[in-house]
Amino acid sequence: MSSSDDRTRDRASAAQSRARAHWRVAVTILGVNSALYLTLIVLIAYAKPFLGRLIAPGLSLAILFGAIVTVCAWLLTLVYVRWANAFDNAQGRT
Amino acid sequence: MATTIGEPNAIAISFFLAFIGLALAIAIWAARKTRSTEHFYAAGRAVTARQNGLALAGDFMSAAAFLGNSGLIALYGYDGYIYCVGGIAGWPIVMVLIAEALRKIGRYTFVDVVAFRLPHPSVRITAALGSLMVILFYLTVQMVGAGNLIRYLFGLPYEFAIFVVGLILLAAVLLGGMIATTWVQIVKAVLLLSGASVLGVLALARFGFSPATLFDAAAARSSTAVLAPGGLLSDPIDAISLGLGLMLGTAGLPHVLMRFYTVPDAKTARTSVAYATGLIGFFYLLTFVLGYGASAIVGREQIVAVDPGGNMAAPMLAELVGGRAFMGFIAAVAFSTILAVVAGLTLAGAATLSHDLWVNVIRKGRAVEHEQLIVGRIAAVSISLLAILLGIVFKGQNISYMVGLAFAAAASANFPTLVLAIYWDKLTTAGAHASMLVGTVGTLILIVLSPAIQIDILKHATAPFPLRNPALVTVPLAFLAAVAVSLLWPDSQEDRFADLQQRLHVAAE
Repeated sequence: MSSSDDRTRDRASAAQSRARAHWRVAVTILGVNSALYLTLIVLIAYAKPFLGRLIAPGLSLAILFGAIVTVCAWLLTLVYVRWANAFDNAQGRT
Repeated sequence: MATTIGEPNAIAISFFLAFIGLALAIAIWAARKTRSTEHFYAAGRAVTARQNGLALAGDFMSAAAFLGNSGLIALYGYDGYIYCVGGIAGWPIVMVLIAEALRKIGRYTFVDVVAFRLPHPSVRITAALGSLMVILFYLTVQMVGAGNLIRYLFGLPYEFAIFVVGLILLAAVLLGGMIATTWVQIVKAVLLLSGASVLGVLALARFGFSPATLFDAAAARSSTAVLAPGGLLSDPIDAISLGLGLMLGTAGLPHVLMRFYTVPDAKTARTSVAYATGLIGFFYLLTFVLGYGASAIVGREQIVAVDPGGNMAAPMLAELVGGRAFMGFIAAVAFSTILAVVAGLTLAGAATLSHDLWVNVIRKGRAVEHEQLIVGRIAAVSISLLAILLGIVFKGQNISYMVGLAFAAAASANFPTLVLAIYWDKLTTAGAHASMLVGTVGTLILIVLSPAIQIDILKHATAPFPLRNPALVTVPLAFLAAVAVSLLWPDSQEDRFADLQQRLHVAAE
């Protein structure tokens, strides 16, 4: 087999391995993000009194949960950047 | 203290003129650097991660986000934050599924990615029409917002304000393309973040720098119910529909997606999303302070007396905690916010009309550089004139509600096809058409049949479709249409899928 065929095969297998790794990370990050966000939205829709409970004067569960979802969305983007940069560096790509 | 909002304010108008001058100076400076379509649509792909992060945040944080959401929190309590949290929850999706794919596969628009996977010209036409619908929806919202706000903030007439915004954005986009638009976004993002931060700190200073004490004061002035949801969205299904539309719509906004072409590589694209998400998240958390702060310090009755929609809550808070000069600065920041978003939308519209439709469909990719630039500029003029017209026609519409609809349109018409084109090997040309048509037409029909049109505007007793935001129905329908049609009438495009995956997951050598 020619070296050009080898290279094409290597590239295809590298693409497949990154695609699989990417899919695992994507499902995890989007799973956590959606679970947090959709839980908040469903609670907003159906459990208003629960979210209205005060955990300190002026601080309701709704505000706390809203802030947590906001901060977690940002942290999840950082997790992805870290994963993607580490994976691509390990594969010797820019 | 009586508010002076709505009266011509010399300081506000000075800041307003200073920003116009700055925007024009940026446009003239950028015009000298804009020599090719790559400059015009993608800023020469030389924008850094930090710059693009700021510009993405600038594109995303519209006047509705600054004035609208803080106003909703001030008047209705917690429900105003749903618009914020919905937007931020969409950013991990942009990061994980879309940003890199756009940079590695497309050229100037998200339609490029769909067209790479499904090269039949008709796909580009349908995708471009869906994209234009979203752009025009969002543009209308921004122009109506611009007219109203300038009337309130500077005491200038609505139509005059619309013309001023239209002409400035036209100059910026026409002369400087994406380079000017990027820098206008960066200036706007810095002004907005710093202005809102100072306002937040001044408000917090009255409550010992404790957010909880400030929230408590807002509750004491009206009721503890303001700290819980339920003030604005009483129907639970409608709340879920709005939430879904906001999250997925973020990942389908053409002007935001276009920004990923301005950076040199995929690594910069993803780093810029992390910057943008951090900045937007910080800004949204501030919205709690601004909204409840306005409620506690200004008072709901005073806010409603100036604008029943509550949009003046933040400027009124600025006047009380920082004086008239600071209110003028905040008013100019709000204006810069609108102008920057409108510039981004106009450029995205111009790219869709010229790059997607003219160059790739009508001229079948054979247009020379010079022709592409001329058509791009003609398209920018057309979109600007349309924006002025739309702003005048839709005068008086509710801004935050329309933002929800623009996001629903993006979530239904653009997002399903874009994600399936990148990640589903069985998507066919017919499946993509079905999805985009169901998403676009379904959104329009369900909005017309919704209580917002049937009951609020046409004054009918009931509405055939119960939800105010259609995303809960149209997004699943758009996905279902793509999957059903692709599986029922398979049409092997797997080699294109393999090509796309190769580009996405293996760097060019």
